[in-house]
Amino acid sequence: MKTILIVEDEKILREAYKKILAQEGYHVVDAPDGQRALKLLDDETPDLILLDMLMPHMDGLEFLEHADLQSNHPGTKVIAFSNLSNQQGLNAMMEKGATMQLLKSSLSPRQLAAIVRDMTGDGQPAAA
Amino acid sequence: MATSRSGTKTMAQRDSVQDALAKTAALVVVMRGEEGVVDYVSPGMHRVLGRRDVDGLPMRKAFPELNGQGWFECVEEMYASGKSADGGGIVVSFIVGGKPAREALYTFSLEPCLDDDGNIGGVTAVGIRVNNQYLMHQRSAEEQERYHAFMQNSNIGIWRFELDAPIPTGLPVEEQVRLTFERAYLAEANDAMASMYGYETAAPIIGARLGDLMIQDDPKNIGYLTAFVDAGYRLTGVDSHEKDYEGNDKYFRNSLVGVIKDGRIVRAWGTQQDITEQYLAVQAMRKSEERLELALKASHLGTWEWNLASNELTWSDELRQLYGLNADDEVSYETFINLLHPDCRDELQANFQHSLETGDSYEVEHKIVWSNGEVHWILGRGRAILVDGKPVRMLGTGMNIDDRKRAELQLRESEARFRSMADNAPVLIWESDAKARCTYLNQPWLQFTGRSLKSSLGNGWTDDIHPDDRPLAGRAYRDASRNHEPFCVEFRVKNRDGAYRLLLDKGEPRFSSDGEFLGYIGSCIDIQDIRESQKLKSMNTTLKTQRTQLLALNRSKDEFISLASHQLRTPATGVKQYIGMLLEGYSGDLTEDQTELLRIAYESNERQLQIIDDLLKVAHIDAGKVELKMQPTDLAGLIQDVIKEQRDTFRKRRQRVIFKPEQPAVMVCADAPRIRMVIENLVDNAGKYSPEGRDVTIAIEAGKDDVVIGITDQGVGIAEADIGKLFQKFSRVNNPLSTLVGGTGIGLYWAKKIIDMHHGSIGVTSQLHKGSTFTIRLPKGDQ
Repeated sequence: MKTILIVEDEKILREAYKKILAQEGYHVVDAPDGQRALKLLDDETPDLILLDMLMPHMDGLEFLEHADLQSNHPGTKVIAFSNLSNQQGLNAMMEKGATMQLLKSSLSPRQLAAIVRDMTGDGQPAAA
Repeated sequence: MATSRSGTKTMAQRDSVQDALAKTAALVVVMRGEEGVVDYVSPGMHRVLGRRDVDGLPMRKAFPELNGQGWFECVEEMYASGKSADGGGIVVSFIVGGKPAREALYTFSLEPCLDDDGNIGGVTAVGIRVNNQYLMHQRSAEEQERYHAFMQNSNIGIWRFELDAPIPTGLPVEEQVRLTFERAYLAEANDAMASMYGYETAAPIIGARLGDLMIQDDPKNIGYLTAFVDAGYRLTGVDSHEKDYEGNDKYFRNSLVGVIKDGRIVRAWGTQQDITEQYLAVQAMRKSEERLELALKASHLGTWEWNLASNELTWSDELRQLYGLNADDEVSYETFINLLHPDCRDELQANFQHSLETGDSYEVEHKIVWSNGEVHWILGRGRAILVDGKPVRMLGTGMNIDDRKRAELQLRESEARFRSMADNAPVLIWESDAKARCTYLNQPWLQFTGRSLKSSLGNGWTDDIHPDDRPLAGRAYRDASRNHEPFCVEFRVKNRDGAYRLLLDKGEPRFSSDGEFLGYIGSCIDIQDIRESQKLKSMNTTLKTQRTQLLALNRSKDEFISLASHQLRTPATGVKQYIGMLLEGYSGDLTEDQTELLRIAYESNERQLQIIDDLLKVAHIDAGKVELKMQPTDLAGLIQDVIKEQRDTFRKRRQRVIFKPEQPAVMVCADAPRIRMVIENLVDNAGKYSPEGRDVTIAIEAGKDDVVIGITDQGVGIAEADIGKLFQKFSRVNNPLSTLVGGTGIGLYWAKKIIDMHHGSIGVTSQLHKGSTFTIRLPKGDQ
């Protein structure tokens, strides 16, 4: 089972994504900010991280800088997943190792699930 | 008639008297008329004179031998007074012919001939022969006293020298002179004469030897006595050099007459005037003249004189030197003219001519050319002397003025250099005199004001100063000139176009080499532009500050918008995810009604998200945050992709999109994603604002430099009045479909901004209810 890490400070969204992706058959772990997410990485090696950009304590960019996924979790992909129209900030995250950037508001649950499946290399969805 | 009778009687009486006198040895002379014309001379008189042709002559011509003996004076006095002379007689001396000639003394009595009215008509003179002894007897003691009284009261020195022994007049002149010094002694002298020798009275010098009184070796004295002998022992106005009591030099003017007896001189009478002071004055003057002559030589001043009657031109040695001539070179008017520089001949000759006609003096500076070719400057002055209006002589001077001319030339060159420099200087230059009157303005000044030099000099130039600035400019000048200090002032001056320009005027005091204040020299520069640029600079600084503030504000706004959009998007995204999960079956099946209601909620939420996106897009582009990423872009392919993407939407509305490009690929250099969004927007609008079933046609045409895309619909069209506001921010145009379509009024605004950033253009032509064509023109750019 593939593991997805959701880093999102907005609980309502975090819960929605957890619910969607869990139904899609993924092992989902989540964290409300960068610091908690870093700790989770001690125990988990997610296949994909949905990483929000603007968060308290530690934002997405700082998380990427500290996590050093290239060294510690080379197989982990990252979607810079933001609702902030800050192109510069998104570009910076791409430079720090994010695989793709997505605007949260642009995706319906099925569209998100389809993208995650593409990213994790799973051909079939777990649920219809 | 009575007069006539009495006249006849008088003449008869005279004739009888004459008849009687003719027979006497007495000398009788009758003169008539005021000039004393000789009317009658007795035979005795003829004998004494040795001639008879004296009748009808005026007495002075008739009897020249009586000249100087007081005879004529007595006659003239009688004519004047009409009375007999006091003293009765006058003694005169005649030299009577024969061998040897002898002196004959006669005493004359004079009587007036009166007519009946008592007026004098003539004089009768009767002379009786006297000898010396007789003469002595005749003179009464009273007459002697009168003589002495006259002598003593006279201011003129009167003297009589006697000789120890008479000197023969036949001796050689030199011997006579020597013997005179040896034998003569002063027998008689008045006090006036004594005082000339430093004595109070005559007594101490009576008996003095002539040799003691006169300096024997002095050539002047020898000449004096020689002249006395040569002139027949009678001299007037001869000067002698003598010594006074204290040995001081004395100069006297003498008149003397010698008494000759038997061919020997026995005594001499004379008078003398002390002319020492005059003599010394003359000497001093001569010295002064000598000094003047020296001065003339030193000052290179030469003189000339031209005798017009003889055409004789005389040049001084100095003048010859000035003209490069030798002392023995001949000079003539022609020589002179030839020496003149050709440039100066006419002027000088004109001056000569004028002076010759009027006697006016002239002064001309002219050039001359020496025979060796050297050119010199001469200051020529001259004047013609006219007699009865005719020129007889011309006098003049010439002075070398090479040095002065050289200095003048240097000054002129210096002046010319200054003028040339000043006229080419990029500043306005002026000069004033000590009375604050403008004396010079350079060409740039005149060009600046467009005023003539003549009307600018003096105070004329101040007319161009701005009336408000005149007191300020005037005060600056006056305050500075009081202490002869430099000044600097700004004022406005009207230029030739009538515009006032601000000038910075700097004045420096001018002084002569003696330190005398001469006025000011100053320069003005036009600082209008500088001052304006300073103002601009200041405004620029303000603007920069404002810009910084605005940028900060804008940043705050961007941050706010960015944050707000995030904050707005998050809940809407939450709605989208949860309704999405319901609609997409994550929570099991829904009824048809439930699905429809959730779909409306979902669409509404989508629209809210779209508005948020549009707002963000505008905020970004207005903030200049949009940076184009230009890349070769196939517009035809891009349009195909858009059509493909929107195919379902069009199909739902039963609309076709017709696109048949002539070329498979039309390349431009553009930001592909953003151009794609523009085309998406226009294609979407074309569909949305057209009724169902109406086709949309897209055309693309590649020109040489640009590409034009036309998107034509058969929709509701746009009223002409609305076309202008179509591309404005937040503008909505009312039409039958607008309410249904919705929209934020941002799409076309953003599209225009993007096309503008590509240096292209976007426009629309439309007919209400028939349709519209939106046209995009994009430059091809470097691909």
